[in-house]
Order: sequence, then C-alpha cells, then structure tokens
Amino acid sequence: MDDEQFVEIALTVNGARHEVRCEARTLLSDLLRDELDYKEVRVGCEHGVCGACTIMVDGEAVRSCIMLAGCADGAEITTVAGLVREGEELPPLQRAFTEHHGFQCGFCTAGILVSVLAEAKAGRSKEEVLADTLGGHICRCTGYVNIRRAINAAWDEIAPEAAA
Amino acid sequence: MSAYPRNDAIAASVDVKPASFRFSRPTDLDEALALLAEHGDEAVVMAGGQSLTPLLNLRMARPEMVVDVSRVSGLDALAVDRDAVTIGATCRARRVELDAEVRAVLPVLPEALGYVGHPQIRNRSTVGGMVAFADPAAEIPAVLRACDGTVELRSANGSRQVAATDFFVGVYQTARADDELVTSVRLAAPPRHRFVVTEHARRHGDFAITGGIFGLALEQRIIRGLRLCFFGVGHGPVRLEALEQRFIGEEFDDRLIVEIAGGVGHLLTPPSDVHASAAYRQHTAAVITKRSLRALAHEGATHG
Repeated sequence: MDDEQFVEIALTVNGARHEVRCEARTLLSDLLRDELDYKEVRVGCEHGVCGACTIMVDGEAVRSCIMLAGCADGAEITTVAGLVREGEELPPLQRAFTEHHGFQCGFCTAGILVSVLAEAKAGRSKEEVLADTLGGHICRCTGYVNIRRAINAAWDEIAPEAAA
Repeated sequence: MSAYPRNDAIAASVDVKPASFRFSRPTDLDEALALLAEHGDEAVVMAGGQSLTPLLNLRMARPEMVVDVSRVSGLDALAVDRDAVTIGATCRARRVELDAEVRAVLPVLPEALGYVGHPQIRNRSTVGGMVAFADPAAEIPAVLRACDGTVELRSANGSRQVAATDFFVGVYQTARADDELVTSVRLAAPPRHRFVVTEHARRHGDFAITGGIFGLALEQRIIRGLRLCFFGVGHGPVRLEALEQRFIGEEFDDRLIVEIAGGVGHLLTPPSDVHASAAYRQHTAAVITKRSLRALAHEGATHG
C-alpha cells in the first residue's frame, strides 16, 4: 500500500483531541468506534438510511457511516456521550426519554438524540423536527409515539428562546 | 493503524467496507484540476459524499482514487441576483434550502431540496454533487432542466457552460469529461411561473418512484407558460417540451388539466424495476400531474 492510501488527520471528539493515521477508506463511524473507542457511535445500515450512526460534526447532525475519516480532518465531533457530563444530571431531552419511555432496545436512540438536539439548537421548529428530523431515523421498537412524547415534553428546554 | 482486519480471508469476504483507494484533498482549484487531468479516468470526485460513500461501502464503486473537493477554496459560493441563482459546486444543500434569498427568487429549488433524503443528509450533500451524479430519480437535475439551467465545467484546459438539456445524457452519465470538474450551476426562475414539486416515494426521503417539477404562468385564465419535467421515469430528467408548447394559449381549466395529464401518461416511457413497473410509473406520473396542476390552479385563484 502506498502513502496516498492513508490519511493523517487531527480531530476533536467530545472535547478530546486525537491525531490519527489510518487507511483512507476508513469510515468516520469505524474510526470513532473501533480505533478511538467511542462505542456509543452505532453502526446500522452503513449507507446513510437508518440514522443510527448520526453524530454532530461542527454542530451539525451528520451520518458518520457515509463520511470518510479523511473528511473529518479539523472537525469537532460530538457523540451522544459528549452531550452529557460525567457525574451531572441527565439533560432535559435525555431525561424526557427516560420519563416517557422513549426507547426500548436503545439502538436508534443515540442518533435520534444527536439529531434532535442539533436541529433544535439550529432553530428548527418543533413541527419540522418531529417530521423531517425524526423522519431520518428508523426505530423498529417503539412506533415513535413515546419518542415524540419525549421530544414534545423537552422542547421548550432544548430550543433556543426565539424558536419556541 | 487500521480499523479493518488484515486477515486476508476476512478481507476477501467483506463487501460492506470500502475497497482501498488513494485519497486527495486539494485546497486549490488548479491543484484539483491537475489531479483530474492526470488521474481523471481512474478517480471519482467527492463533494458531500452522500451518494458516493454508500457506493464505496457496498463496493458498488471501486475507484483507484477519490478526490475530495469539499475543501477547494471558492467552490461553495452562493449568489442570488434579481431572478437567478448561481450555486458553487460544493455549496451544501441544506444551506441552499434554508437561504431566504433563494427562497424569494426561486422557491422551486428549496421545495425540491426538501425531498432530498433527510436534513442529516442535506447537511453534507451538495447541489453540484447531485447534478454531477445524475441519478435518474434525483430531483435537482429535474429542477435544472425545468428552469433551463446551465452547468459550468472546468478543466486544466479551460471552462465551458453546458445547458441542462445537453448535460444529462444517461443513467449516472453526464456531459462531464473525466478531466473536468463541475464548478457551479446556474438557474433562473422562468418569468411569471409558479411551481409545484410533487414526488411519490414509499416514505418521505426515499428515492423517488416518480416525481415532477410543474410550472405554470397564467394571464387571466390563459396559459402563457407551462413546464412539465419528470424524474424517476427514464434515463434522467424528462421534460415534455412538445406537450408544454401544445397548451400555450389555452384556457386553464380542469378539463385541460385532465388532458395534460393524459398526454403525460402517453408520452412517458419509464422503466420497470424492483420498485415499480413501467405502467405504475406512467399512471403515477399522470396522477401527480393532475394533482400538481390542480394545486397550481387553486393557488392562482386565491392569489388572483
């Protein structure tokens, strides 16, 4: 293999800086999970449809399974674990998901939390988040009813003032 | 350092991770064009990667080289003038979709973008990439065609503009040569036309089974302009220009809408595939034509 088949990148994940050399074909999802041990990043369909792999890249919700690690050079990544601080209380959306039984197996949950928080913070309306944002995630367990209840319950606390 | 096993037996059987490729990430247009001049026939260009990476993951594409142009400076400009929008090739779809000026001048474009996957996809995908990839089920090539847009192509030897009508030549095939890069697309709102985008898919965000871009310009009740451009019905966007011309000057009433829809059903020759038969697509195209033109008629009545 020659050098051009590898990439050297620097990225920040949940505030921690990493410098990595990996094969160019490495997907961001696999880099995060397998090389950097961020096991909270899920891998589902590996072609961008199911949403389980969704993380924040520079604050935007992105499918990590269809982003090459090489494209994340210089990026600030936030995974679902990065949305909570060790030892602190669960933030409003995560708390609402536990209170309203918004997950069963939990496999899709990480991606949904990241998407909803990123889009809410970006000023999207609740209607758009409940339809378009959530529409980008496949949940086989819940039928979405309690997911929607949880998002509704937490909405005022996760959306910026102006977008309520 | 590798996320993937080096065991050859495993590597040989794995077909859900990309095969190896060389990767370049130019930051400068001349650098990108030099790469394409030298490696164009064995390289694929990546902008948002939302169509390409799934193909790499499933090993449906096994290029020697991937050239990521998303960091090439100056390629992501978005310019709106009085009635036209010029979109740099690496401008993210989500940015175009949410831009207030684009919405004011060319509302059909954000409406069509709303059908492209989901917001999470659109955060990365690019309008230039959608045009260059030329998926026959894609919305944006159809918008470009409906609005008589143009595509700017550059190579190390110069640049050229290609009209949408000449750009989409087949399934995933365009007029772009191997050493060329799509650098921008430009489209203008046809004067006095109002547009509706209608897409039929199994779920919102799925690939279209059949869809259409419908434009109408009315003076009193007389048709002064009509745009009928379909996607998911053939080798690329299909614009029924002869049918459009046939109805200019006619009074726009429901009888005419039914006639137009009938014409659409007759003229389209969509493919059959695992998702739908040709007959289903023809029927669907006629139905969405009726629904869309009726929606435009209703809008016209309330807006005067």
